[in-house]
Amino acid sequence: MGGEQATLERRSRRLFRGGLLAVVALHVTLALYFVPPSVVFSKKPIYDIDYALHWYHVERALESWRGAHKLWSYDPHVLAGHAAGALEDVSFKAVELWVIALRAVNVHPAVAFNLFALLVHLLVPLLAYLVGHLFRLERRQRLVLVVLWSMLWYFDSFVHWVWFCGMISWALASQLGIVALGLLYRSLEEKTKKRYIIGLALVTSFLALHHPFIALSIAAPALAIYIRDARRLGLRRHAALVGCLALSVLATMVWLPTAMKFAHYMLKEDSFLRPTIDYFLYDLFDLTRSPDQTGPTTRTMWRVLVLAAGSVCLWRWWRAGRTAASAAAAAEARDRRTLLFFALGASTLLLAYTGSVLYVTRVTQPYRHIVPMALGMAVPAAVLLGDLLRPTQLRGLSRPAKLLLVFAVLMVLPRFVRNVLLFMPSIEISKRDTDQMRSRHSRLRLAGYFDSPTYEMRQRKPPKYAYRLRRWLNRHVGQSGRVVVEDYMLGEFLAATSKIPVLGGLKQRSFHHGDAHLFRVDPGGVLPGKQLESYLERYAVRYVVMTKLYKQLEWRKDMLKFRKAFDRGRTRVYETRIKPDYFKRGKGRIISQTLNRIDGEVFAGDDGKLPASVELRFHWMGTLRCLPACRIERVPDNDDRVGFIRVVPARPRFTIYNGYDLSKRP
Amino acid sequence: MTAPKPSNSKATRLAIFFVIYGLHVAVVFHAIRPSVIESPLNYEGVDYQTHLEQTKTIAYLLERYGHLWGYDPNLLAGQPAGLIFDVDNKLHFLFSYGIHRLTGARLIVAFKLFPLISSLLAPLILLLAARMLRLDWRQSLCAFGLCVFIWLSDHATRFMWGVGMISFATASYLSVLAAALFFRYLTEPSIRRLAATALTLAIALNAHVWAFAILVVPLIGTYVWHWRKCEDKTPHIGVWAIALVALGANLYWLAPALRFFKLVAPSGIVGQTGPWYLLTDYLEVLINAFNTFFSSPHTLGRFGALFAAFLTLRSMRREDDPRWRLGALAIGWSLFLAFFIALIPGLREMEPYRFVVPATLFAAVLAAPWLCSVATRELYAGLSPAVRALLIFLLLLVVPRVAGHIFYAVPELIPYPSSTATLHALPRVPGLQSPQQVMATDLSQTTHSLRPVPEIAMKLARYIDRLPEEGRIVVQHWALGELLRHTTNKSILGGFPDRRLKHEAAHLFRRPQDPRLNSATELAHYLVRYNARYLVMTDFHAVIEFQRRLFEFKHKIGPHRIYRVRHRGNYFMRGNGNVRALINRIEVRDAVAHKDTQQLVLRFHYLRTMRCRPRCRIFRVGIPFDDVGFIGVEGTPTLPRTFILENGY
Repeated sequence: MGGEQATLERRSRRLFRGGLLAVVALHVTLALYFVPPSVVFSKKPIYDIDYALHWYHVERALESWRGAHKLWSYDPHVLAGHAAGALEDVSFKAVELWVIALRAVNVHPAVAFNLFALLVHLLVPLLAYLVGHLFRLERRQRLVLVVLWSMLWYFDSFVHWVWFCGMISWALASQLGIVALGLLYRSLEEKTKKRYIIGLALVTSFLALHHPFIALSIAAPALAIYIRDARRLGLRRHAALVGCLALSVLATMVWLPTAMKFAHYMLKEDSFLRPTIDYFLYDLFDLTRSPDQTGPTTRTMWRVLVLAAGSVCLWRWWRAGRTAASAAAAAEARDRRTLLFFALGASTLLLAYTGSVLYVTRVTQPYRHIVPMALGMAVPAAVLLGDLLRPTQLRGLSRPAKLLLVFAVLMVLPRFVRNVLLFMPSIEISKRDTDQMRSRHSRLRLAGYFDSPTYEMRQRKPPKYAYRLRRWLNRHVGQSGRVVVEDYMLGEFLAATSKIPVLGGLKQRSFHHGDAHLFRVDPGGVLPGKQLESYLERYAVRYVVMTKLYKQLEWRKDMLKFRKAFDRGRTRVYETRIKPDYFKRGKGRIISQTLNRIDGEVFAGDDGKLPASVELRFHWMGTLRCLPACRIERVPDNDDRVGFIRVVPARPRFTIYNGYDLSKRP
Repeated sequence: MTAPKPSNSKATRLAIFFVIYGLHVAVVFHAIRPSVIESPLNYEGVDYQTHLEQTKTIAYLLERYGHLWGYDPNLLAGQPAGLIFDVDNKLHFLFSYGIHRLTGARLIVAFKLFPLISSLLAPLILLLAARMLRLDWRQSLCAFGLCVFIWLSDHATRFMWGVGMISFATASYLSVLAAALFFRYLTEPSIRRLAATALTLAIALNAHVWAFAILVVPLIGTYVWHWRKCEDKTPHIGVWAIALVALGANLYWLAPALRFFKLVAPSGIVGQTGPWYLLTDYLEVLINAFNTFFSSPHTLGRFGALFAAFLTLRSMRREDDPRWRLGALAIGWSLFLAFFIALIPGLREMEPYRFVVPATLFAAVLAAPWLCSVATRELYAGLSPAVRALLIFLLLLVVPRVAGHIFYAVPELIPYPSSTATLHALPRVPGLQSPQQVMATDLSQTTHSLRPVPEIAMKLARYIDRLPEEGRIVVQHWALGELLRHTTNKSILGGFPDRRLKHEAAHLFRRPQDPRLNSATELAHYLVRYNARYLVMTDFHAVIEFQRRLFEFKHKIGPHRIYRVRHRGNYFMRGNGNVRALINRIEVRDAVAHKDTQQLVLRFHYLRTMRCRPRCRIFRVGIPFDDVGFIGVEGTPTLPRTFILENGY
């Protein structure tokens, strides 16, 4: 009997290893499909959606680190000057440090940047396995958990969107958030073992540096189990947990003090990922109500499965304690993971679908919490599904029951296949000859009449025309004025990889400097009559680069003249009919503008004298200083909430630089 | 499978019936609204334009000439109406004309009533078919519900009755009933069943000629099998009587169509589905909209029915139930037609994909026994909690597919998203306000209901009708061509592109690769050859619209651009005169024969039944790109100044 048991155990172990190997191989294959090595090692940064913005952050961080050992700077090239790295990229500091570190060992920054994305993909099965281990899952359950994480990673529309669109740091934070909960759970369960508390300290401090919003996702479950076990914990364990917290707070010092100093520039605005409670139903039925709120396409099959199976598992665990004689006995009989996963599932769902009610949660883009919810609920789901899928469960079935099960699987299968094909259109057999029809019928699209318009959701390099455009602009712009760039990614690309002064990039910049962004001022760039001229003059605009067709802007022949087309006319460059001038008051020229520094020259007036002061069309910032023997003052402007720079007194030659003095409000 | 099940009480059965049918009626009335039926405008669906044009022409021919076919000189430079192309419109015509004559209702209203009546009848007919196949009430009601679901949400079925292929949809469910009745008659012969089978078959063939294709193999197969197994009991005379009645009831259109069979031209374009579409349809993946009816596939009901019907037939076969053969033949044959005949030259013209509809409806009826056999408390009670949970999870994952199909049937059920506030709702920079109302979408595009022809198209029709000059109108968009034909007095070169008639050679936009579309010289010849006077373009076509040497821009109505053709030709290829063309009749005045040949050639398609009077006769004159040729006229002995060409039948 014992021998038979051992044989069975050996076979089970072999099966588990084989299964795990197969799942990991599939995951890695998919990772290499979605983040192709040809892109990763191309020395060109990933270009898709927010990656372009993040590459700009990384570039600026690299440069300011090189010059001043800081992660923030005054960037005169973007939005007429703004504080790069102070507010916008608090969720990207870890990646910036990663690139800086790899750069120090001679890895190309773009390769380092791309490697981070690939690494996050490759970590998924590893972290899933670790989570399974931390939550004491059996072998079969661990295997199911790795499968669930992998499937969620690639084929849940929102999880896929998160890593595809560049929210890669959130994608990693969501995984590590569950790891942190596992470490906390084990720290509370096994009070004598130090490795869990050490691991917890490391992971939470990394998360505090990496993506602070994950605290919202894991706060409720962490607090719930801590409070439950508080009485049982000794003083040392309490102290250790407080130490973890302190370390995490310490880690935020990398970005928090600077961000606080610049916080007054922030706007109470939010654009994305803040659905209302009715979206829960839309999500359940795979309906895309608003791409801005839940990603461009809704495919929630795996999410619904883990949520349903996870909920049933939690209910089972909870019910196990229901028959106990006393509350204490019930708590004892109940699985100790119940509270943690219930709190995690409930709080993240609540945040995701009702977080838009409160400003404080709305600005965090609450729908993002769907990712830790799905990954977290996959744990109890794996427990249940691991149980249900035992061969012994299926062997004893009657023939009609087996047929019924097969029938149900056949009915579900198309949904899964379509999920896969949606994200991998290059293997799709569809000729996609109906794109036009699809885009025309929005509600019919919503009803599934046509698939949502989609594109290859795998990472790409910047397009070739972007380099041609950059070359052309480099030749023509110089210090003659700025370039308005309509396309978000193109704007960020130009800003990150050239010295061209750009008014563009992310439109939804929630700080005052966004006033310099034409398409933020009006989504179609429609500034009637003199307003357009006034805008172009205010920001010294020389060229306007259009990709989307905004007829009302492009037909302003009084203000724009066509200069050149790129990408077979899909991107068009117009030259403005004004004479752009960086000097708002006084006469002079900008000799050069680089990160943290503007060099200029002031011309004498007709009387041969220099004016008392000059005003520049660069955004003011409190940390800017002026040489030689001059000072910087703020010039308020009715149409720009930041205001511009006044140099007092005017010098024939002057240099404005970032003094990094944050003692006063910058 | 055939084990007796506890039967529901009559009241319960009735309640279930009325609930299901009530839902069906509600959705059908939502889709085909009485207000649209009453309006003087046709449905917008493209095929409805063709069928109304045919109905109006045949009604005219019947009243004026007493025939159901004739020669229409004002479409495609003259084409036979009611002969080959509209053998799929007979029942629809008879219904419309009958209602029109009997009740005095306008022909167009009667025409538009047909899809409503057909849709309302569909599940009832299929319920009757289920009963004829000896399904008990529980199974029959299950089949009934499944048929309702499929009729409303399967994209192919829905497309058919939405776009105007209503006759084939009608023939499909009538074929199921005919097959069921035939089976019942073979196994339990009676005069009543004989009459019912013959009548149903005759009506099905009247509804659409391809009812023959649907039924030929299942009926003959069942008959032959029955003959072999139960030789003594086979009612041969009855079977042949059924065939003769069905044939006899359709001879009125079949005989003339066969007489002109040589005019048939190969022109299969849409619905060309190969075997791989079976898989992609199952997976609901769109490969080519032209082949699978211009929609991403919605096939949950179809494949649910097919899988369940397969299991039913498997069970029946084990029990040696003779219904399995009929079922297997009917479903298998229709699926073969749908997914294999596109590979067979000469059969592509049948638009193979259409046959998924009868396959699905057959399957829906036969799926019910298996579905009912697994939807029992006993089976559920016998499952372990784990398997129950698995089943529930799987069902949960199917729910969005079901919901997707319901939303597909009635998109209005989805609350329309409020405008998504992104930048538009953000506070602007003071002093730079330029409020811009962001219209979310065109709400008119958000329904599956049959809508009337848009006003812009009618405005175009009124404009075209008022154009003073003689000559033909080339129309790019085919449904618009049909609409202009039946709403104006103009002669149209356009309309349905694959009419299976050689006469479609006069259609410039029939095939994108047509050399006349891609060569300025050929295009110029085409315009003169067919005496084209105006051109109506809807979708931008650079090769055509940049030919300013050939066209001058005249007017724009909505998306339609009207160009005037520059050439100064007329309706005479040789000779000269004045022409007035009416259905079945071309009047020529002031005719002057060509001085060399003393003949006159009209730019109208030749038809051998046309006769010339007085003292003249016609002959065929060959022309490039067109096998039909034009009508040549010569005098006997000299050409009269005035003569009439009329269909002599």
